[in-house]
Amino acid sequence: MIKKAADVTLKVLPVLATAEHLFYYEGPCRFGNGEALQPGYDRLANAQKAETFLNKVKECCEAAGKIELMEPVYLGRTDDWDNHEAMWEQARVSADACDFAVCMQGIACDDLVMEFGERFKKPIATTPISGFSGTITVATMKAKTNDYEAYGFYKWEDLTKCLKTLRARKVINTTKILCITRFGNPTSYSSVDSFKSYEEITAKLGVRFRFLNLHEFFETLHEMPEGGNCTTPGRTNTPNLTKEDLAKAEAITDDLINGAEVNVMQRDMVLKSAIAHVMIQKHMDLQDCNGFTMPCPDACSTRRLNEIGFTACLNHSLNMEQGIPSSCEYDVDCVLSQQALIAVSGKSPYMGNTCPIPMENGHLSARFGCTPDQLAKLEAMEDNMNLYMMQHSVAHRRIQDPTKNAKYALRNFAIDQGFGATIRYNFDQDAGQKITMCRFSPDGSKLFIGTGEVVMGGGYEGYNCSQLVYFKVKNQADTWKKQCFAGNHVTMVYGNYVEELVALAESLGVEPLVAD
Amino acid sequence: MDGQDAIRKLLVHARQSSALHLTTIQEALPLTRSLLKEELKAYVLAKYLLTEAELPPVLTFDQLTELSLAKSMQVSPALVKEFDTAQSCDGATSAMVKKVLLFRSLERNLKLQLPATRSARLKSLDDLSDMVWDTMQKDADWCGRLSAEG
Repeated sequence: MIKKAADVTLKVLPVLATAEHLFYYEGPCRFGNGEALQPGYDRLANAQKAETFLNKVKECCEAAGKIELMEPVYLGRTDDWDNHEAMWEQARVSADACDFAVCMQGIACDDLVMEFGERFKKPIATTPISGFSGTITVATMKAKTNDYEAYGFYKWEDLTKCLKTLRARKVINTTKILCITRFGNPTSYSSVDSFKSYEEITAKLGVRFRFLNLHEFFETLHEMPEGGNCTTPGRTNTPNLTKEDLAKAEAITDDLINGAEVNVMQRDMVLKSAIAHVMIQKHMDLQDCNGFTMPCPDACSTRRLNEIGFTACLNHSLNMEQGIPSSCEYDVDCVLSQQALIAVSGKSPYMGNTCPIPMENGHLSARFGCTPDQLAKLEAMEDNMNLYMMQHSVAHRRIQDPTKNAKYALRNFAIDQGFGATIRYNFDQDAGQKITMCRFSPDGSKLFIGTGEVVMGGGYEGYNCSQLVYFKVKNQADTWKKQCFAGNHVTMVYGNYVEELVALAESLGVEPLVAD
Repeated sequence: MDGQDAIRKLLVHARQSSALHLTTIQEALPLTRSLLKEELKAYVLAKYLLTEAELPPVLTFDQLTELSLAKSMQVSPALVKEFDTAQSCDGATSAMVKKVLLFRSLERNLKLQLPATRSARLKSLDDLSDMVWDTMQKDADWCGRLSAEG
């Protein structure tokens, strides 16, 4: 199953810690007067407070979105200071199942909330309804040596923000990336700035990786020959192309051709790329992966892409359209960076080679993918001292709106032979649009975060890897300096999600590097 | 009649009126659901120092409580929530306390134990009488005195 980021929910457990007085008395821990001091009052008053708390937590969960609010757990005690094991046993099932416990407590219950955090080792939060008790609990938990995760919120809106962050963190922690590899190196020959050690990334961020041999993958792109594929002779259970897979690819092909503003490709060439996409998703589904990458140069040099007649561009575009991170050039780092953007924004990212377009000797310098016409246009514009570009032919139809297709063109990657479907998006139409971009550092210790504004597009009418977007940043030098801690393939979404990315990075124990 | 006298009179009348409605409930044999509903409503209005004429057509139980607080604090109902931001150390608002005191009064006078969670979720006066009726049905002393027809 491909469990997309959008399908990941955070399980939130309300914990109600309350105390009940069994006798009438007044003193430094007993407030109120008259009936409020009588036995029986606390039972009803605690219920009122719990209801207010639960309604507030529900509101926060609804505002955060994608939150599963569990049935509350009750930690009750009387002024006998009882603390029975049976209560904890009852709480255990819910505590084990939750991702985050949001607690309500008051005077004389702080220790119960702390014990909950200690016993079940789940992140806990106190809320405005807990008053001073919230501060007491959180400060004590943070001071303990076991690195407990505790949050104190004095505003309800901060709980909402935290819920969003912890859900995004869960998305990252549960990401599983299918890596189609030729040589078995952690990086491909064209993206050596990707993650250096999968083991370290798994230990640090929880991300899992599943691997598939490139040639074995290629062999599944056709129907099963008698006796199995040549790469795995005799194994007749490999997930080769079936009639159903082919029908899906045919439907995708027709949809792409019929919906395109311009299509210059032969149908059979589009179909080959669509088959690759359907089969990649089939392998992802079989391995329960929700992210994908495969090499470009390492695969290209086998000559088998040329022989079969596809590139992975269309697959990456269609995956990204669906909110599934998918990167060119075996860049697992970029896949996870895309996932971070998807998790915080709910939008469909774009990715590519990313670099500044410097002004030198009164002219903008050409970079890979730039054309003289484009540079002339940019030079004619005002405010062109802080330009950047992002370039790869993996644009798609849902960059602007993740629920609706925009206008697009369909062009081949390979100029001579006409194979390799690519979706072309005209970024010109989005001039002025704010963007947020990011990329993890190769050791996963930092997250580069930048913002910009779309200036114009390029490559809408081109072939090969010429699709690109130009954007301006506030400070080109600072953006570059910080990008150099991360790497080349940066990913972006429309909108401003800096605050959300910083919060996500911090909750992952990753240093946010925010460009000016 | 000065202001103090008027308030004193209002409180005495409220106390007498609420006691009268409780007595009607306690003495009804059998007690019907509709009588309970009618008398409980009158009891709550008396306890809350409100009259039927002061009630808007649609009112939740929480709004009723806030209306009562507003009247006794002599402020607009919209301001009651602002007053309530100054909460006590145990996080209880004035509205919560007022409701709990009403429920405790019912518990004590009718010799019932109301379900705590349900009491916190009441949306209307009808919900209150339904809760009290259901609690009476489960109570050994009360169940024999309730009308079988409801």
